[in-house]
Amino acid sequence: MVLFAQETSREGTFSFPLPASNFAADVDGMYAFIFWISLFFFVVINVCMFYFVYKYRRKDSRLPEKSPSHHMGIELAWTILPSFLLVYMFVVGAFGYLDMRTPPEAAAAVERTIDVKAFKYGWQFIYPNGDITTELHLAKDVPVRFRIKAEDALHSFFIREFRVKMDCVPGRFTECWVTPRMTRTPDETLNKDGSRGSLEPFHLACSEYCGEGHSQMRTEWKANPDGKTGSWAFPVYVHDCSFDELATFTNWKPQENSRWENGQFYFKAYGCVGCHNIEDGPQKVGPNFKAVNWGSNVMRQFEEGPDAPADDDYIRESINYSTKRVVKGYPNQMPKFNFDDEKLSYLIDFIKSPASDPNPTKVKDLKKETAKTTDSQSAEQ
Amino acid sequence: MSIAQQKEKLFGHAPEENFLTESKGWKSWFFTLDHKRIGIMYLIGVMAAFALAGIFALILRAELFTPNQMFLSNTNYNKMFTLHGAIMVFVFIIPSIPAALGNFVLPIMLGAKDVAFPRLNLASFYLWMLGTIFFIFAMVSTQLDTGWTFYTPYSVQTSSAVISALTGVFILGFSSIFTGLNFIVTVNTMRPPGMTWFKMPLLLWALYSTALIQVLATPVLAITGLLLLGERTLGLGIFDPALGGDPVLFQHFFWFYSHPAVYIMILPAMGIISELISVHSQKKIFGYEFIAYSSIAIAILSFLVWGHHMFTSGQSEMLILIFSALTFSVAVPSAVKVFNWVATLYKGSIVLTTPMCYALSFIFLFGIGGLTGLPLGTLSTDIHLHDTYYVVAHFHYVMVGGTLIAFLGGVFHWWPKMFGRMYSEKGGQLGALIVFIGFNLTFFPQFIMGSRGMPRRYARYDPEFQIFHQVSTIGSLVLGVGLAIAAYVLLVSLWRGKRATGNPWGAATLEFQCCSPPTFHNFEHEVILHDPYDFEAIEFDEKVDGYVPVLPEPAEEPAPVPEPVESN
Repeated sequence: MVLFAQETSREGTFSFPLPASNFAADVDGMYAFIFWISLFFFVVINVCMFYFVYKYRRKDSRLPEKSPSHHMGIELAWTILPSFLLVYMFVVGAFGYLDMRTPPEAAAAVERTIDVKAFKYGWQFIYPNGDITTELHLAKDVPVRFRIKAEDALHSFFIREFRVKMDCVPGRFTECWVTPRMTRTPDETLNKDGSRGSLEPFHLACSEYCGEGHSQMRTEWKANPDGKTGSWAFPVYVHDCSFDELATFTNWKPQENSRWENGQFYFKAYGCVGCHNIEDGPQKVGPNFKAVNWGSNVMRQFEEGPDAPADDDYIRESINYSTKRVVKGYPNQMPKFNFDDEKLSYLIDFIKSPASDPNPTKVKDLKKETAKTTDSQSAEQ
Repeated sequence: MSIAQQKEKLFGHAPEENFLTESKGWKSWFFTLDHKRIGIMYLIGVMAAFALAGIFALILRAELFTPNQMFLSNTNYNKMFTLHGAIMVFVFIIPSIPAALGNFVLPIMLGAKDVAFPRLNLASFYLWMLGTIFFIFAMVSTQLDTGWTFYTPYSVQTSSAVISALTGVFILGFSSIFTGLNFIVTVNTMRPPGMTWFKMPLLLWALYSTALIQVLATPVLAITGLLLLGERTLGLGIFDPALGGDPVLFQHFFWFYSHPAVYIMILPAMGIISELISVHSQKKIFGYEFIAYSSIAIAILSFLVWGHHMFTSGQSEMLILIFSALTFSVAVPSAVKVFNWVATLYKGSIVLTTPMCYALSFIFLFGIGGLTGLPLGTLSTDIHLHDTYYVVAHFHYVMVGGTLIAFLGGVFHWWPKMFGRMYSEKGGQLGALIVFIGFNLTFFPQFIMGSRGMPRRYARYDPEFQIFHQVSTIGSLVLGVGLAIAAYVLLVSLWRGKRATGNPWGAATLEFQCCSPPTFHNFEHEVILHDPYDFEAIEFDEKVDGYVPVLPEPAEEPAPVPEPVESN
């Protein structure tokens, strides 16, 4: 137990994080305005109060000297005059807010819309080109619109450096938009040797209470067991490039990787790691896959119903029909997925052996090999 | 009979029996219809609830000392903050001032024997106990992890004891309605002849406004609770999107009660502060009518601003603009009260008694709590601050720095009246000072954390916030020590305290005209009515050794002297 963790990079001013979006300057400026007005009133009230308490402390006679207990002029003044300040605050705040909720045409276009999917307990971003990741990659000075939905419970999409927040409501879409104004690249947050970089990514966080893993739905450094290397969960990056070039950061080509690597990618991209540990470590919401034995001869116990073998079909059912059978001792909280057979088979390969790749052949070569064997077999015949 | 003799006769002797001693045994308490005993039982009850929820707060603050897990799992942390919030709100703060202090003080302030419906009053206390039992049942079964807000659809999905907690909330709501109903009728019908609306003490205006909210808003909570119960047990599909319901509708229903409920908590506190500031500076309250009207204004406006809890919830932009505008309108009457209190101090004759220390501390803390509401009402800044620790700090400055501090000030102010004992003034002041320091240490760092973007209800957090959390945790311990000192000072006074006279502070309101503690009938003589803030109408009497009303010079003819009522 470390009581005093080492100080991490704390960027921004004393009371605000970095102003990394088009809204930040307005929000921070408005806050500063209200702050100074408030401080003025606070100081006036308290200086008067403490001065009166000192000056008019009871000395000898109990009854104070006569003074008025009512003054219409003063009372009307301090009722009406501050109202003008309040109206000003309302108007400026309202215009700032309408900006936040009205995406410019450039962002409203379909090709600038990123779908945000919040679920217990993780995030997923679906890009216009169909890429799916758990990392949010944006381009500097390019307005983007987020179309937000929640799978299960309420969540809230909050990136503090952008001053952006929008609730994710199950059963409906909500939306917001932003133009990032500062860059933050993966290289700055992760060193070549896999250790933690000097800076942190911009911070995404769920800010509407959603249950057990609420505080896991944030940008966070996940250290590997060796203590040195690790990775960022749900980081927000801003690149200095065009929006279309962003695809290179997220494009995953299953053909170029092994089946196990594809499974590992989807496992992380779909946020499975949020609830399922794949190495030694604390127990998360769901079972730790390193500790589970799989196979048709291993029986799984459930909250309800008879035991069943932990074969590939069982894993398929647990992913695509997650609420059907719940393993004994775990809550019924997994979101339902709807994967095609290809992704499912990659995921199953990975889940069965999360520690190492049993067959590191690329998928495209795998097909050739199969073809070769078939060819040679047919040749032999 | 000379004036001195009259005084001697009316105020000189403490009667043999008072309401605490006139009958004995648990039945005499449990079946009492005496508003004073019901008030005392409420006081003990809400204090116990406060201690329990306070311990939960200390536990979760201790867990937050480090960013990673120390001794509470995520689930246990969630249960801890939920129970802390739910018990504090439903079992402690809402009944604290109206039901405990109000019950004791309100009828005597009116010069009355009791509230209008004594049986309803006792029923309200029984309902409070029953509701609390449901909460305790939830606590010992599977606890509760929904947050005190019970937001759907999580509250439909979770396996924790939502049903028993909701039943508790439902029952506690009726307890609150009964108290409110009683107060409305009592104030309307039982004022003594000559006490017009604008000759009522300001606490009564505040309690009356509060009662209006209790009666009008609480039924909505009951309906919401019932619908959620139906949702969980029968799958009605009103709030659960999986069944075609709308979770945002739940938020509307919930805050339609719970925002006015914020004023159920703060309005009576403001009433207490009006009394304390005036009495302990022996000066007529400044701008009586503005303060009275502002209570009513707050009560009305409180119904129109619930949507400001939902600025990021996905409700329509038009609604959000309207709610923001209305929210600013509540700022005005609250500010008016603060200005009036400070103006009351001007040219006063101020003594820093313990209640006065709490009152000054209230103005300081409520000032911060109120002003930090401005960036939350302003839309553009609220989007960033919403659901962060900034909000946590803001409402604790209002609910604890406001309501709790005023409640404590009130307890210290009326303690001699309730139990007939004076506490150690030094001890009380020390407690108030440590509470003030501890409170600021706990909650001020949370403003900075919040504006830096630390979301609320987080069991784990980014290491960059650790320093703020640590200051906050240390502050919570100091706050705990301060509260323990206050409790100790009060309890010790019961055995060691000097006997209190009928009017130890020189207050001009009627509850200080009867003896301390009051007899079963409250007044042994007809009340001598004068302005509640006319401190020239009372004087110190050497023989009585306390403050007594100035009696009119007897005319040549034997004047109609108020005759002692025969006690039975």
